[in-house]
Amino acid sequence: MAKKTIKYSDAIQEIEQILEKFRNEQLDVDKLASEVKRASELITACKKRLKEVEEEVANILEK
Amino acid sequence: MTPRAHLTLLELQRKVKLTLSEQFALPVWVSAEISDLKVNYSGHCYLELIEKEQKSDNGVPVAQARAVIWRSAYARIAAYFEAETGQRLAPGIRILAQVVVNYHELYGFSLQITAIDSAYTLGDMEQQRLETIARLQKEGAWEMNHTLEMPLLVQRIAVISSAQAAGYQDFCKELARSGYHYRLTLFDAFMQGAAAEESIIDALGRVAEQQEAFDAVVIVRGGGSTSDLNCFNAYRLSSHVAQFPLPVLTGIGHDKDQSVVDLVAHTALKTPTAVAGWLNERMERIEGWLEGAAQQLAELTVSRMREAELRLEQRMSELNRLAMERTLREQLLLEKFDERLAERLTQALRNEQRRLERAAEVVESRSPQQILQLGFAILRADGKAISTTETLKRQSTLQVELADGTTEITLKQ
Repeated sequence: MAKKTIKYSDAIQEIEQILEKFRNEQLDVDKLASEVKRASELITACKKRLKEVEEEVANILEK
Repeated sequence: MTPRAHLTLLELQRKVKLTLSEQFALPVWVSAEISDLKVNYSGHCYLELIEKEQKSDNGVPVAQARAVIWRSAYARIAAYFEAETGQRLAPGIRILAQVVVNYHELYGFSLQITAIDSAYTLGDMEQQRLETIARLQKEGAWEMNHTLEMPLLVQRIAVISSAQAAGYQDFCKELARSGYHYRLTLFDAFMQGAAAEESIIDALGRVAEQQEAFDAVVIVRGGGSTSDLNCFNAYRLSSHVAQFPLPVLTGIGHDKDQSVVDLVAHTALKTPTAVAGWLNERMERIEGWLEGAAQQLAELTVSRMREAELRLEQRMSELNRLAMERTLREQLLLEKFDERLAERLTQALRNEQRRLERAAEVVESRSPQQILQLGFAILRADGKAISTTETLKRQSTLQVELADGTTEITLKQ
């Protein structure tokens, strides 16, 4: 899992895909935990990226 | 051989002088253009007056005469003229002068100016001004500089002025006061006198050669003196300014009617200081706009971030909800399995029980008691059932079990 390098938009897309699988009940119980884990990892990564961007922007605008 | 009747040169000159003085006993009013003017060390003013061919700009002179204003009259005449017309007596100006016709045997024909009618010059200047305006409008040059777009940021400025002019200093000082960064390039030019028009046109030409390097041209001229504005009404300079490829800003420094150059320039201001003020204000506006934009950018970014964050939160809670629902459903399913399992178990147990019961019945039907009832007997010796004759032969006492009880018998050998 290349967590560091994943693009925000790709991450969002993957989250949506996982949610879609949930909505359509396509998920195997065996995979449930791993998918939930994957999705929340992605969400956490996205949040972190957001925070970084926010700080970056604040820095840029302060100059 | 006697010479034919003749006059000496002096006699001829005296005759001419006499005839002229008889003919022009009183001063006459003469209109002419000044083509040259010099004030010598003694304070007398020597002029060349000319009349040009009509309907021609650089018309050929068709008449020319020397003229003089004696020191005694010059100061008064010049000062009055300048006060009335806002214009110094200078080459290029048309005047109506009261002249005394002089003829000197040695120096020839000259005119002694005793008065100048400034109203004539004013009228002539106004006339020229109107003609210049009409011509520029007719030629379609009038609006050309107005229609140029003034760049948002006017920072690289070509300044046409005289390096020593007070107006130029004022302009620079006012710009420096603002603290904004400008890049000024001075194109030195005469801003007054007969050479001014050509000198300014030449400077404009030098700016045009590197027009890409500038945002606008500023023409500024010394403050205070209101004289020598004539060149700013002249056709050639006005035409050059009107058609100049960069927006022109003027601060020519006068408070009378606007000159034609002011009228055709993109933006005309009264003084060099006012031009600098205008530029500074523009900078302030841009700075304000930039600050506003930065603010907006920050606000928009923050709100975009909040939105994205909110979306992530929503996804997270949806994920939680969906996962929980899913596990709950699976659990319910399992519980249902459980119930069914129990049912099956009970059923199975019950079946088993029935089978056992049936077995018991079968077993019951085959119990010894039942068989004894039918009249069978069980023989035992020492408590052990005897099932072979061999065993029987070795016994003397037997217990016989019948349906209603057990009795003992003795065998006779």
